Amino acid sequence: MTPLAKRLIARMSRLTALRSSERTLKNATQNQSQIRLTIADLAAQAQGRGGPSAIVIGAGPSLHRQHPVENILESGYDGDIIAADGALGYCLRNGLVPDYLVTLDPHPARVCRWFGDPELESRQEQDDYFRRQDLDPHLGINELQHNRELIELVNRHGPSIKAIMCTSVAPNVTRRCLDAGMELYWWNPLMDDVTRPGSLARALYRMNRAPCMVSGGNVGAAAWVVASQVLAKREIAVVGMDFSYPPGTPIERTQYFTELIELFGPRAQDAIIPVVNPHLRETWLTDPAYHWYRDAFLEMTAQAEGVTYNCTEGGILFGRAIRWLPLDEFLSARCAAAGTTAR
Amino acid sequence: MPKFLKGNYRLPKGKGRLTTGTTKKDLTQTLEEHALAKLGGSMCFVMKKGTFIWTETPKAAAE
Repeated sequence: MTPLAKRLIARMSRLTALRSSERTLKNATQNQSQIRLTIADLAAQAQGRGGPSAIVIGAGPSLHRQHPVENILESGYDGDIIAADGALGYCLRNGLVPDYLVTLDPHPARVCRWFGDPELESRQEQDDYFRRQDLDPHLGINELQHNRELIELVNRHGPSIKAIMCTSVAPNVTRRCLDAGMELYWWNPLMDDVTRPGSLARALYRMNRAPCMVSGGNVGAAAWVVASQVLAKREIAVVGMDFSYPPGTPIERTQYFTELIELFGPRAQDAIIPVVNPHLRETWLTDPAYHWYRDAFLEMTAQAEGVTYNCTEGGILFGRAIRWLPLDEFLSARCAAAGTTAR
Repeated sequence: MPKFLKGNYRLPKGKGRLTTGTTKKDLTQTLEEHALAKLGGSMCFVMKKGTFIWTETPKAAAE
């Protein structure tokens, strides 16, 4: 890891606060009138339901390399499925309707794309975010047509999905989930130390009375927190949780490329961090934010009850509190225990 | 005219010292942080003693 990457990781908490706090407060204020149910209601509803295990679907590139939904559907797995917003389109296109959906990022325009954005065609500014990366390759090609198809899919299945909404999301995301018929359960991001004077998280709680929840820094991690702490699952498999880019990914196809070039010019490559995955014996590439997410995830799993299985079969999420396991093995063990059979 | 303007006042102690060095450094740091903030994550991450979910107790609210 280069000194530049080390310095950026060390400052990531502060940089994230600068990037997201103002938008979070603004969005939370605008979302306040929509807050009826919270994750406390969801925890009460979910008590003793859905079995002891769950699968969390992140939106990392392994989702499109390993196709876990195919295996999940074939296995007949009947535990809870919790999807990050970025994985929603992939799940629905492949015939899996998640029980829960988690959304978090306060960005005013990009997040709505995961739900099919009704305003995409009228939006003036051009954003190559989805075209440039492999977050969901389907959305990067034939964008307008695929956006229309996603709108239709989300509208069709929305009423079966419970949306677990961070108060930080942009109001257009809230509107989109409501229009699609989803039931919304709210939480505030635990964005600072609530015992300190001037805590923003405490101020949010006092404003809307939604519990504050640790985010893990990103929506995939937040989906895991929901599985572990709200739904009280004790055996959680994660898929699509790479926190990195596959071996050989050019820097132009990484999430922060534009910003890295703008800030560091020819030194941009120094911010990319190679990480050897000992289970795969492959070198995956990550950037400071994703490396920070990974550290946060490991810190959370070390403090939680239960077992987390990383069934991503790619990426850089490995460590003491995480069990690396092929998805098929997780599914066959859970299905045998529950007495369910493959479809 | 210059004889009336030159040296006909005293500055309070400590005032008027050159502070441009530190101010400039603070400003540079602030600007740099705001530029680098583009590289930040989706949301802040704070974890204290295994507390994943926090709600305020009435007692704490009263304090």
